[in-house]
Amino acid sequence: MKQSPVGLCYHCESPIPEGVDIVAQIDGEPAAMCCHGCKAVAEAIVAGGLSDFYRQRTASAATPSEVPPEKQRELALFNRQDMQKDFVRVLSDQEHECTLIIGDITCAACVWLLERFASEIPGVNSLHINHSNHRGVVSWDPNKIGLGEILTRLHQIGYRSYPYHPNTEQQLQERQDKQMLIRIIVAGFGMMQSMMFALPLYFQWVEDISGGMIDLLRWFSFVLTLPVILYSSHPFTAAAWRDLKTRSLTMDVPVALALWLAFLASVWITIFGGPEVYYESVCMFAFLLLLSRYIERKVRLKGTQSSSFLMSSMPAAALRITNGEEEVVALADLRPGDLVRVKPGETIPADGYIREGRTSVNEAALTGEYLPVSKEPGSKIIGGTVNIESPLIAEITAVGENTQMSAIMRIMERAGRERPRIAVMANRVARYFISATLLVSVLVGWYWWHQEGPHEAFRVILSILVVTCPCALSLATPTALTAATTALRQRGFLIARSFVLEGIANATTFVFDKTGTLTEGRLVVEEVIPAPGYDREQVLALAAALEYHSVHPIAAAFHPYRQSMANDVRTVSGLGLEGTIEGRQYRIGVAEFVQSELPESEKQAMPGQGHWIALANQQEVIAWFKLNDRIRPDADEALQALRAMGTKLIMLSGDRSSVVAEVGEQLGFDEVRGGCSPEDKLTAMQELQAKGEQIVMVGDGINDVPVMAGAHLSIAMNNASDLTRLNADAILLSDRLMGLVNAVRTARQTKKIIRENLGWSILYNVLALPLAMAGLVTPWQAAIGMSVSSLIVALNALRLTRREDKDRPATNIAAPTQA
Amino acid sequence: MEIFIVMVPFSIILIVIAVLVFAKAVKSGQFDDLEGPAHRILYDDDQDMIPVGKESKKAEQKKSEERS
Repeated sequence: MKQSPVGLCYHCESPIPEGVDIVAQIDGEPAAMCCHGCKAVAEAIVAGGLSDFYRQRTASAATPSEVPPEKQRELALFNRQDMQKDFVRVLSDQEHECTLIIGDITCAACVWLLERFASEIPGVNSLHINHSNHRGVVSWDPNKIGLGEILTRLHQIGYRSYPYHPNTEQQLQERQDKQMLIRIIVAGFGMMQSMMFALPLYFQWVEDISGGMIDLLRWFSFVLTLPVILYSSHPFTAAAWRDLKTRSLTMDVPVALALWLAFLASVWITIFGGPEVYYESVCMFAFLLLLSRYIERKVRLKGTQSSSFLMSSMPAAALRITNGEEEVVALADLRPGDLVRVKPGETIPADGYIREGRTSVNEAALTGEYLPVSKEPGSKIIGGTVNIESPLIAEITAVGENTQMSAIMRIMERAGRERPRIAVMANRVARYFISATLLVSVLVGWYWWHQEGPHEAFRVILSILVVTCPCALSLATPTALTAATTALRQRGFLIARSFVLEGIANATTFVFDKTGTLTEGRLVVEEVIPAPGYDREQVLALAAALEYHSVHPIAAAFHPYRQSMANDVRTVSGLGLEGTIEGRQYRIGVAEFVQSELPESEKQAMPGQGHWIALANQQEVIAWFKLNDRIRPDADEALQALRAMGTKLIMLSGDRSSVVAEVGEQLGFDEVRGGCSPEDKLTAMQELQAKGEQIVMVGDGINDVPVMAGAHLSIAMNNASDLTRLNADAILLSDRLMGLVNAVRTARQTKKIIRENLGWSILYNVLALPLAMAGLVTPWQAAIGMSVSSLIVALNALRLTRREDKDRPATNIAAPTQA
Repeated sequence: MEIFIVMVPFSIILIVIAVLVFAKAVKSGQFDDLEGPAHRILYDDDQDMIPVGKESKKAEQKKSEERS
């Protein structure tokens, strides 16, 4: 049988729950699947002749879920003309075009799969996806298919896709990206050609080179360098000017100074004559610096984009009831006092209270707890939480700014402002060094001016600036950081802010949320006790058939076991489900509800501690199921490793139950606090910070966001809400906590390498500076010295990427063919 | 050496053209995706066009077994 590493789903490579036996035929061979969703997707892929996907991918596919009807309806909104006008480009009557933002793309094979899959949908002309930013341009014939249907089809194979409408900030960023590339190429061409003009002058290659010829070459070098200094170097000039105005000193000041001094000196010499010009140094310097900045910028922007855009592109609409009639209105048009209808599975649009309907609401977004809370008429409901069981009509009491969700945002912003700064060592060192260099060049220049005149002074100042030039020193840190960032990204740890590595290396305390962070954040069937005469598979299948009709988190635990369907399923809010399978009536849910119609003699007590639900037919209880939120399989190992590295472990959870203490003890936490509101968590953390602890917060829910914003450093789990991911400093891309350990290790190694690099570049500068001051170094020698020292620094940093990754388990190697 | 007087300005003209062409390419979005093409070339859309001998079939099978 085709199988990914033992016990993993062939499609999504997540573990196959015990007792699940779902098989799909792939290329004529059976392959094990973890759920029917995966099976459906795998079969769709094979049926489309796209089974190459499994050969070419280098990362697991997203676990698909069947697209619920509500979602389909929401996507169908995109078929409406008025919804489309913002993002659809009408090329002709037969051809419309739209940019999509596509989620859940894990590797290059996903792109291939999507493009092929889309092109086979009737009516779709093409889909072109950009690997870097996960955006695609789809072109289709509106007479044959609607945009909504295309989106639904993409959702069906497991990729969440929405129309993409860039806001002005994103447009600006894209324009800057392009402009930067042009700046680089202008500097690059300038560098090549001015070098060409300079070499004959340097080495006297042309024996009979005449004075007139030298002047000619200089003037043309000047022409070449003019766009480099004015256009390519503009970012440095502008930044240096801004720094001077705000009286702060950054790398840009000596960079701009060196560039302009060298340029002006060369112009002076070109006009009035002199021994040497430095145009080629100017161009090379500008080119190298621009290139390193461009790469840094790309790394920084990558990966954080798709999740944030996914969130912002959700249609924000509500179903308002006015005079008994329903209408779809934009969220912004909702006012307190309005009545809205919220269907099961939909997000509640704003704060309010229930007028009609009894249901349960999943408040995980606020509290992080996955079990829904029962609500009845009069109960308060909170915008952003999800209605689970039955439709309800609510009266809105607060919208927009006044909702609880906005309140959390405000706490978050406040916490972010008060967040303790991580001082970046390298910058501090560099700043002193820059001031010293500038001072030395002025003094030495003044001395040479008096001794030898302006020509020599220029040359020496330039040598000092170039030889000491920030390069090795300023490269020391960024190269190590970039290398570590890339290496960690490949190992499933995405860094979104520049100070993450330094912060995580210095961390003294790790604070964890429980649900969804230490645990998987979803219920699984932990134990099954079938009644005598029934076997395990049988009762699981019966339960799954009933639960298939529910969107309750409990139901999801049973989905993998489904084999048949139940009829006439009725949800009894907060209690359970009732339905018929093959003509017999069954009930599943809390013990009292399930047993309420059984004869007294058949009633049973719960078989033990924990979260038990019962399944019964009309005569007797036929099974008990224990549900639990499983602790992540590698949590123990990861936490032990963290402790071995000398960090303190603390758990702050919103959960009020005894489970918190249990989990805390099991995993050996130093401190455990349960029942914390977001504010409590923040206070607890600020107390720790006051004691001088450097805190890294690991969390997943919106309720963690304020704490994360206030921590020295925050890390979001892979399954975290979009908002959490957006605000986190780093994201764990795999579901494995060991990734965190890996990150700490790499970060500490990075710190070591940065020290080595700084040590080396300071040594180099200390040696080179006196020589330059003495006027023994010509600018081109200085440029070579600078390049060599930079190269050593860069190569040292590259050692970070080379490290053999011992922690990586076989399960993560999803690449059949390493592309 | 007089040839310099022709060649040097000519080289500058060439560079100006190169930069303009490049700028146009950047603006038209050709450099937006710097990763895709590297992967795209590896997509075997020609699977059925490759003659498969018995040997390579075996190797293929072995490979898929290793994977499992």
